[in-house]
Amino acid sequence: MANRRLIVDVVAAAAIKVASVSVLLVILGMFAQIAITALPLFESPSISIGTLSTTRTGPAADLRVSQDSVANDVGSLPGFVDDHRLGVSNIHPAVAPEPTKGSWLDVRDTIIEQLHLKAGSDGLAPSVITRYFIPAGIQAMSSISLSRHFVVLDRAGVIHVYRLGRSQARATFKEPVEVSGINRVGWLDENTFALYSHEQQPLVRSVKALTNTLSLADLFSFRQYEGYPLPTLTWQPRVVDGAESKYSLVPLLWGTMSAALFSLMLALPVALGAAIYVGYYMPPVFREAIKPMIEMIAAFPGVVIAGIAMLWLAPRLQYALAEFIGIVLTVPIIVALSGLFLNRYFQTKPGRHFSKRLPMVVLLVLAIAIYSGAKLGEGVEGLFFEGSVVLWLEHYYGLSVSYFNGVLVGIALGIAVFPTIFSLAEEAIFATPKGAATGSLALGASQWQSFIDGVLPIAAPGIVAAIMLGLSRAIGETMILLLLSGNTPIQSSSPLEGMRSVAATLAIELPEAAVDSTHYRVLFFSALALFVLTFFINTCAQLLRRRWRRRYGVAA
Amino acid sequence: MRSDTLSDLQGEESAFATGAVRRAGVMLWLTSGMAVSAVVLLIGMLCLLSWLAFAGGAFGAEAGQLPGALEVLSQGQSPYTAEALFSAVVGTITVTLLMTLVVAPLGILVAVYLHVYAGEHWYTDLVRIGIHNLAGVPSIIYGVFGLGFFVYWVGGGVDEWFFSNSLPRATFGTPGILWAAITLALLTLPTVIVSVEEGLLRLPASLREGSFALGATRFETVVGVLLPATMTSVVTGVILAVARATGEVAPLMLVGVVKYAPSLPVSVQAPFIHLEQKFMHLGYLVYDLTLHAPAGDGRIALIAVVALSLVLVTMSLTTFAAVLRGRFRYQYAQEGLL
Amino acid sequence: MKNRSARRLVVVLATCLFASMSAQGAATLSIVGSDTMSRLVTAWGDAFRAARPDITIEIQVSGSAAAPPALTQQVANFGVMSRPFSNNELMDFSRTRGFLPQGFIVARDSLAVIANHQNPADSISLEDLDRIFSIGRLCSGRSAVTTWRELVDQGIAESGAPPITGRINPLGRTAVSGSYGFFKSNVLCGGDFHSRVVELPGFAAIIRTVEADPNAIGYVGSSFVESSVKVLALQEPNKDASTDMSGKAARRDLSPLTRDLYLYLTLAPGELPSASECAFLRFVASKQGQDILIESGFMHGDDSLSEGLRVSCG
Repeated sequence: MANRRLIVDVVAAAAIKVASVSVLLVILGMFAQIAITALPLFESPSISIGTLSTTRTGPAADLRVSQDSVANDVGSLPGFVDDHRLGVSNIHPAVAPEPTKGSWLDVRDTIIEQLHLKAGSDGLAPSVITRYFIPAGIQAMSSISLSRHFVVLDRAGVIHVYRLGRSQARATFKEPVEVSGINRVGWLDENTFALYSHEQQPLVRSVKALTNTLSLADLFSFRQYEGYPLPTLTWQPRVVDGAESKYSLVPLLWGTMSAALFSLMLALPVALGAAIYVGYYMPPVFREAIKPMIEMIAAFPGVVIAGIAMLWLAPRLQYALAEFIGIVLTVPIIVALSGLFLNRYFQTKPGRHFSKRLPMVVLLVLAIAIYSGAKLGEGVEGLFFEGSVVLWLEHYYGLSVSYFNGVLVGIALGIAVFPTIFSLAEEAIFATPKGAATGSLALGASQWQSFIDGVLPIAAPGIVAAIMLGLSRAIGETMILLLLSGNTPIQSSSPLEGMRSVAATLAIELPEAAVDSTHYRVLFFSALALFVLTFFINTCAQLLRRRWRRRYGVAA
Repeated sequence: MRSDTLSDLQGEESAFATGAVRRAGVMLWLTSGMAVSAVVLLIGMLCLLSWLAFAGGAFGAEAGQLPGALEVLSQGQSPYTAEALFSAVVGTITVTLLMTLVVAPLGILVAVYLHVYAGEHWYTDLVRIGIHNLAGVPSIIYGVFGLGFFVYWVGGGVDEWFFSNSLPRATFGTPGILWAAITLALLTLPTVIVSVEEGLLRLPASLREGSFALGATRFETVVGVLLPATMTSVVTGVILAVARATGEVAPLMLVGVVKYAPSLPVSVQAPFIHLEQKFMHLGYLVYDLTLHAPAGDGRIALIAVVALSLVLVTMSLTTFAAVLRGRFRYQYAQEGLL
Repeated sequence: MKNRSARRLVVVLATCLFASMSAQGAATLSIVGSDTMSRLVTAWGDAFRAARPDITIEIQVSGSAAAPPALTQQVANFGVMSRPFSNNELMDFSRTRGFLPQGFIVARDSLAVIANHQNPADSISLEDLDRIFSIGRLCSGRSAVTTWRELVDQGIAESGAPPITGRINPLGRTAVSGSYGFFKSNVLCGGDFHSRVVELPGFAAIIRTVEADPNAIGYVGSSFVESSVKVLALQEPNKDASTDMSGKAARRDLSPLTRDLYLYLTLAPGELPSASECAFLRFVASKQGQDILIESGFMHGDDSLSEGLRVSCG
């Protein structure tokens, strides 16, 4: 008998371990997929020697390396100011590549300058973006490839591969090449180029990992882009030809974090306050009715909140900002004040809890408070802000107020994360042992004091878990951000302007990005960056929880 | 063995019944105000949705002149018909139930493993942090992962082993309701795990130790003592999971939802649940309508009625779960487990 | 509870194994691509379903950029786009499949610039659009404009309506939209949109926002224009007379922002379209299909479709 139970125990333990570990492995697989997709972005290119075969297998057109086709110049580019214009490509002849429309190269013997047209006070004028220095002098140079790279062979025989926008060479083949007679360099495809001279066979070099590569600086620092007046942090991936892709992740990460912040600012007080009331103050007999009712807010999915907010709330909020601020500021004050004055009417009898009438009275007070808060906001707006806060701010402070702004996102996202925080925090508070509070109550402390000193330390780990889950939900929420944030990567600290979050960007762009392209990889990297960011936050939270558990812990 | 939580109070007996007369404090009012405003918010949102759906709403045009949702639905402009709505309701309920079937056992399993079997090391902490992080990954990544891993790899494998007759037309190697349910389960797994683990952590040590002292094996303790005691946390986790899953549209778009599906995923012909079919989903319809609504005046009403159906479906599922939770609480309180 | 779910699990697994019994007979045509054409394609799909109930049409419209990858990976039968394939997309396609996709101009429409009814302006120049929407102002070369007051000062309001002085709220589509690309090439001269230009995922969202916000200005396909918004006439820089964009005039070939709308399909050299594809294309080219096109607010395409049909489908 005992043996059978032991066998069951051992088998069950093994099964549980195997099953859990496999689930965790699947989760790990997901993270691994993100990392594996994103990290090749930073591979550094290297040049190697390749051999040229005169037949190319595969669907692309045959490569013709005769001197005639070398002169055919299939890959010529508009605006190339130089006579080293050559490109040989095996791309279908109907397709003319245009890697850059926004800038051109001005080539002199030892310096190449990348120029673009910049809009100034008197129209468009050329301006330098990048300078490339080739001290040994240029022997031969290629055209600009579709990945916006070009190859320079200098007179010392060193091959440099440059990218538009970056003055440092991306790759260098240092073993000198015999330069005499080489007068042309041509791209065979995006990664392979050949050095030609009249008599000999072309010397083929290929560059590994040239196309899908960026650096961390491209993703996180200020960059001067073609056609822009100043260096910026911009997110605008190229979708149509000729445009340079801008992949700065800073606006996206900033937008995600500010959306989460605004939503927590609105949701945390309400969720925690409600959790404390339902879990601590309220007679437990009502809990079975009230708690599900509040949890019903979770039944409004993010997409519904987003749709209704966009169609109903947004048109009204733009006129009601002052009223909203009035409500948010005055309601807590009025409710608290009414508590001070009215609480004498709500006293306990020994052994009984507060009158059931209390929530009704609070409801009434709330209604009055909201109404007066709105009217107060309106009044203040009329008196001090010339009738419209929005115009006043724009006129005197140059602050712009957008239609899709952080307040709108904060309200909608706050409603979305509220149930998560409420449910878990309330459970944490409700499950604390009675003795935590009764001790200090017996000694004459007020209820709130007993809560802070007795219940809160024990419930704190659970409350922190609730907040962390709510924060995670706010960071990962897609629909609300997609429809209500305006998707403007402007990186503003004002709640009156819009933002662009990583999740919304992924939802917009990921389904259409070509698999394994730079864009695709950058999108995955943005998810990875978000993951790393939240990892730090969650680690701090977990450490806090462990510490509190150890100090005030109830269970082992 | 009774544990001394606030939860085992009966009726109007109060934790604060210490014999002294107390006045309602300011914080009581404030927190009560928060709770009341939450309830007001809920009722307000429901009323708003219903009003928009059936009264036409006011969107710049004169209220009362816009047709309500019922009229628009009866006009039958495809795919916004009553049949499509019904099909979407069925699809939503089916995928949510399937997801619950997957996420509840798995969530319990992982939480129990972490709490009982794994011990407290730095790497288990790392796993916990990882699970919390999982909740913050944008939902469309789950869609991409679900597509690559479940649909193409696992589904492709299933096709090769079981349905090689139908190849090259994919049966399971293509998006469908099964993969959508599993993807949603992965999405909501952290919620369930966190909730269950928190519940387990709140149990007094005496419960576990007492069970061991009486000679129960670890497995028996888990199944007979710990899990029943945390049933409420499990159900809370499932409630939150269901609520999140019904609203996630982005991953579903990649793994099996279509704008118009000619057949239901459940039907009276064997095998009754067609796991490989694509399906319609109310959340996706709301998203689609918000962005691509047909011209005409009934558009807002249409969006509102679809949204209302989604909310009602979610509410019924979560109410069912909450009632279940209440009965667990009652049942196990009666048995003296709490 | 555990027993119940265990039993359910077993049932589910068992049904998995028998799932091959379910029927999935009908032929399916999948159309992916542009939101501009979404209503048109949906209308065609409905009418076609009535005529040929044995063929199921699946439609997914998110933006023109969705079509090339879908066609390249053979996930869709047809791609509808409000712009032609870009060179990069052609290259990707030809590299993967070895030939080029076949495109027909099935319709034409124009991009309409819309504003709220409270906006006093009736017309706007392409230059001003560049100044509002772009970051580099490569088309106009002049300074940026952020508030309506600046435009009003420069004479945009002709009617006696009260001027609006707020900050301009420029609305556009997301980058996957062909209309985004079209606006970028034709109005911004290839320059980039400013970061404060709002990106909305669908034309209906733009219409809703313009309806509600007096400071808003946006571009939509002309077939989406409703009476709740005002269409601004476009002044071209070299002409004096504005081209009136409202109502029927928007559909005539007068606007500087008229564009061709494409239908692409993939046909290897020597291959013919399938029977259901031919049926759909024939329907599109038929009188019924063309009537639907006009009713939806578009203009006729060119002969390429009829020619292609004659050659491929007989």
